[in-house]
Amino acid sequence: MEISKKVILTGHFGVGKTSLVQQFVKQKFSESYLTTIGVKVDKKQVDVDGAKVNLILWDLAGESSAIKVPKSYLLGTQGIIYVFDVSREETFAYLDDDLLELKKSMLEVPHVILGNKSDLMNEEDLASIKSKVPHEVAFTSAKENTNVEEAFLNLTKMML
Amino acid sequence: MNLNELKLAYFKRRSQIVVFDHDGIVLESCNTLSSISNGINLFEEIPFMQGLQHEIAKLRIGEPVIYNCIHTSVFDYQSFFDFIIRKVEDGDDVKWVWLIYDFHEQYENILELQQQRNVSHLQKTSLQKVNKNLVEEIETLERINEGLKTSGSSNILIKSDNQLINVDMKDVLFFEAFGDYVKIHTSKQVHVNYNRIKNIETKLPEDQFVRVHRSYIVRIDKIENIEQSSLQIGDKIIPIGQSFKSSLLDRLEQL
Repeated sequence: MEISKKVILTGHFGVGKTSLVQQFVKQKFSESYLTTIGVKVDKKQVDVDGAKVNLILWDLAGESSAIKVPKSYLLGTQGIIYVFDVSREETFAYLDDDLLELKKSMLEVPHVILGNKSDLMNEEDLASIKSKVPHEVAFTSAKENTNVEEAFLNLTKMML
Repeated sequence: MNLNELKLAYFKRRSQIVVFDHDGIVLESCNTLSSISNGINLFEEIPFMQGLQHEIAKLRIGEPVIYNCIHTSVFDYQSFFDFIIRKVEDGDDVKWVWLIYDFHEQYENILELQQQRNVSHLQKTSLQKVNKNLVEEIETLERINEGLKTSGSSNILIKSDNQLINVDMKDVLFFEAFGDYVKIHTSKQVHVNYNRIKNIETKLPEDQFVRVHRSYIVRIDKIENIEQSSLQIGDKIIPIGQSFKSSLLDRLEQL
């Protein structure tokens, strides 16, 4: 049986949302930064607990805050990936407010929070960030393909 | 407007209209952008549509849902689109109309501007971080150097090429400004330090060094000869700035 789940990726610009999708879908990483405007839609099928799940990934253009996401983009969302950049504090300083705003539109939608670019920090710095963010955070590196697939699969399990 | 003009205008808009039913099955398509055959299930074949079935079914008659700037593919046709989906009554039947507008050119221009804006912001943030680290390093070095000065040592610590170097001030010939850096010429080698010459000047013992030009501070006992507008240290001719000339002569007279 195949099922489809729409997942949005949100967070500030330059945090690596598109790189995470590229790594997950195409196993590719590019050093050069390319801005996303609007939304880029990609798809990947995964097998989770015997179910074939088509993840429809809506990679939203990063803004200074998630509250600027057009409402139509959120329709039908079944999972949220909030991405921040561990090396730029401004990208997780308002994480709480952004999540609250998103949850207003999508009360019961499961979410994961990813601290991307973990390759730029040492263990001590990551532990310090974890203590600053009052949520469960998974650290990823799209560049080194660390924890990327695990993060998407974890969310898929939460959505089933 | 005759029919041909209408067609031309329609093609110029680079758009397509697709009519489908509750299950997403295509009933009609004008196929101006992408070939979409009747009978295809959009909720299974088009990634953008997947996961939207429930929301699209809930639309009220005539009330559109608008998606701007969607970068995706409609079968083999990839572009930046605007999509409008509307539920319409057709006699006793209900259908859905999907309007596809290809705005590739317009959105490419926006993309370019947005790219410039974001890159500029990221570079600025990155530079601010580098500057902050450098300022912290300079402050640390200044504290250490202050300690050395108090203890009567003639040495200072400077950072050059990511190394901390212990420089004996007695070996220094002169300091030379070099953009955001200062070159420290000693009898043995030249060190390059991220600093401003004005900042260096305030840290130096006044009885040993003198500013002779906006870009030069020299060690007084290393001056070999002085001419009208220059002085010589080793084989280096250093210019004397007009505004620094009298203070240089005053200092030399005091010796």
